[in-house]
Amino acid sequence: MNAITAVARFSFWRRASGMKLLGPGVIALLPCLMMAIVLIEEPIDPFELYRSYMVPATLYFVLPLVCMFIMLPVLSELYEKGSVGYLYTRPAPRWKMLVGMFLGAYTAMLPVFLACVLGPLLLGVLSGSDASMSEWLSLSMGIFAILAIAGLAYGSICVFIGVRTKRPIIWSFVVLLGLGSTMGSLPGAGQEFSLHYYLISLAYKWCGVTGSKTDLFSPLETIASVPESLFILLATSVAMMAFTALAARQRDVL
Amino acid sequence: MSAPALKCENLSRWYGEVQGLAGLTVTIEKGIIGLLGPNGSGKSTLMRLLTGQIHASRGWVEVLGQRIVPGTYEIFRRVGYAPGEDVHFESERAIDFLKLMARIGGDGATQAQDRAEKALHTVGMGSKAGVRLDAMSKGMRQRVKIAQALLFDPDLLLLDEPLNGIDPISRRGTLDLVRKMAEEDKTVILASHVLHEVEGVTDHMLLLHHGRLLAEGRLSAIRELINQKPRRATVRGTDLSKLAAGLLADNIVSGLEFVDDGCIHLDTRKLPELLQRLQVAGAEGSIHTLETDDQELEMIYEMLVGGSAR
Amino acid sequence: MAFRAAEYERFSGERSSRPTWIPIATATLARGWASKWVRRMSFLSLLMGFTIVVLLYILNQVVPDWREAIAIAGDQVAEGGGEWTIDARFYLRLLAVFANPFILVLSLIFGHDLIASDLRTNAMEAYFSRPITPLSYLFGRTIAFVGFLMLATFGPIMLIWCGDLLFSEEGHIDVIASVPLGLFFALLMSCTVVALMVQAITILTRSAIWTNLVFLVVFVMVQGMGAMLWGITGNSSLLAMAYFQDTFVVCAAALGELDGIESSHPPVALAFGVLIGLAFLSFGILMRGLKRRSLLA
Repeated sequence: MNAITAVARFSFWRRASGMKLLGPGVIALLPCLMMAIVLIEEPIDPFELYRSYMVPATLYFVLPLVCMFIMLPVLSELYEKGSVGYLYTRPAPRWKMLVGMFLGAYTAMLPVFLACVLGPLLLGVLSGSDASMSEWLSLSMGIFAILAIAGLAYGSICVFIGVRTKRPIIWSFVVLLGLGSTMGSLPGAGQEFSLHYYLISLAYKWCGVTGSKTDLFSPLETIASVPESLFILLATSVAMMAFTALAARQRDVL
Repeated sequence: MSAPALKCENLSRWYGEVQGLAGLTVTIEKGIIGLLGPNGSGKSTLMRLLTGQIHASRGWVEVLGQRIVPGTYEIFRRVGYAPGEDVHFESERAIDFLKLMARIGGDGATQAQDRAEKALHTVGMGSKAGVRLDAMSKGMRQRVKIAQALLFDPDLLLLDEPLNGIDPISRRGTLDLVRKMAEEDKTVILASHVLHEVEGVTDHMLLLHHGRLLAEGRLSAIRELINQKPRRATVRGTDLSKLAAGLLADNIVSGLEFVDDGCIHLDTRKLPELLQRLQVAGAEGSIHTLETDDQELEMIYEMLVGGSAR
Repeated sequence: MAFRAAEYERFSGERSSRPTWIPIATATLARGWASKWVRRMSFLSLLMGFTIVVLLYILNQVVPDWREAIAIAGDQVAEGGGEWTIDARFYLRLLAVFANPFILVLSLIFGHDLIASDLRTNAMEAYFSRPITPLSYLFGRTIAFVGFLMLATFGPIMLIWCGDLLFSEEGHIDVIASVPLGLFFALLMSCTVVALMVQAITILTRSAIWTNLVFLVVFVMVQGMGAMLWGITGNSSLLAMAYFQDTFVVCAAALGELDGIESSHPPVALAFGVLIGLAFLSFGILMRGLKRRSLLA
């Protein structure tokens, strides 16, 4: 376990030290900013605004971009600089390094997700919402749980892309925002092939979201059950980490 | 009988259409081995193949009796590797970097701390343990790289251009360290493109050129060949005719050519003696510049590949 | 072995009068063209334009009066809206096909590395040890990147325009005459803003990968935010935070096609102001960063 914990600690501080979390933090607080703009412009209940608009927006934009910011450079940066060679010439299997790097960065992502749900919560409560505190907390914890689970799946995809390709941004853009957010938000049969579908399904069940009132996110026609959604998301995480280990065995350190 | 430190058979590696290493077959038992070759000759490719960072396109390699295949890692407890490039984990402190490396290798926190401190002391960086790697000079980072290679007291130490960018005192320290390891019955493979660096610690060398093994064996044998070849020195200065007459009289130069009043070409088979005489003349102020064709590595290549080395 | 007395001879030969930004621009063009994906994207864009030209030709050969036919069909579908005519507004719609995706993709695969590679390889210091001003350096880099962006965005639109003109009857030019000049200046402005912005992000992040990430946030997330906020509040001014909306509006203004799009797009003055503001802000960041670098060197 020494190798995994040592690498995880290294990976966590690498992502969380200095100003590294500033970018993801700003992204995470953008829904809060949007809520503030809308509350100035329109007399709308903050709770309804958060549930109907900001929760889908968080899943659509914030989640993939935060994952890309935090998880994508985890290994791709080390490959780019060549310093990954230090890790791979240690007497420990590569999968331990990968798991350690992933867990460390994932842990650094959780406070960002927490800020993402606490910002709107505070704003909503302070701006005089009709909803009770328990309703707010339930909604916030629901979305935090979804983000935490989604972070595992999307994060592992990012780590895989970072190891497998030399153009990680392009591929993660295609996979996370294209196949993820966009495909999962479009009506039709293709929706179920996107992880986003299962995230939205969880949002329906846990947060009471019933589709956004803007044209950006169409309501789901069928909803996946909670066990099915959890299984798909967790299985994806495990599978992607396994693929990452395979890719790391094959990729040259140059 | 213990396994050889390194054994490869028809080891080849291509980068697309570029040949990094071509059909290398060699066995190295013990001691210090100079891995010589110009840039792009395949030294770093071989180092990376030995450490499993890249995989062979053809052939195989064994390190300390263990075949290096994808997934090999146990053997790296007995192998120390310092890469040639100036790569590092930028915001880490030297001690933290070494502790991380030790902990990945299986050490507990206390053991890793002890091991890291010892390694830093070995390379003379004990007082800089708390300095961040990105705040260090290139030479200091070079020594930290060597320290991480020494962490587990390896049986085989692979040093890729270890003397690049370090000052003469550290250079001597590094070479002393290499000698000490050899005395402890360990193997050091020292990659360099500067012949005299390697020559200071070993007479045994592998010479690579365009990814192929050009020569293997004793450097002294090749040096004898070089010494038989006439060498040329170009001297610029004042009062050169007097100097030339003295050199001719003492039979140090075999031929000379006056380019103009202030410049002569001197041909010699006794370069060390010539340099000694010129050094004296330089101290007296009569020589302004001196150039010799003493790019020994290039000369060796020229001799071995028949002039197509450049 | 060589030793040499300290001496320095100042270069006294003839110096070239060629502006210093030209070699920078040439090197940038060469680097871009050497990139497989930049070539692929540029060719893809031109190929798409060429395909539309071929389709126009085939339509012209098979159904000579297709323009009238689709206009009637369009009137019926859009209830008198006349949406299906090949006029200046048609070219405006082509922006969604050529401008938005190719600007984004080319910036992601090439733009992010314009300055980042110089920082990574210390080439920046080598450049500024020559008699090059930060402005020349920036101009050389920017003009070459804008060249690639214009090739992939304006190039295919012009191909289609030429094809359209070639296969049309007399009088059609009056309908589409404003397109070349209008779109050229509008797209030039948009591409310049992107080129400056992507380099400014690099100066701030000093890394190619972070440049791309920030660029994605600015272009994708802020785009979506603008659309969402407009969807919720109905205030079209909020769409001005989306770069592509601003580009569209500026192009529409350049073509004189603003009628009917006011409610679903930001006001033209605001869109123009946002683009100009972004350009000045990026330019300021770049000059400050480059001057510091050049002084260091």
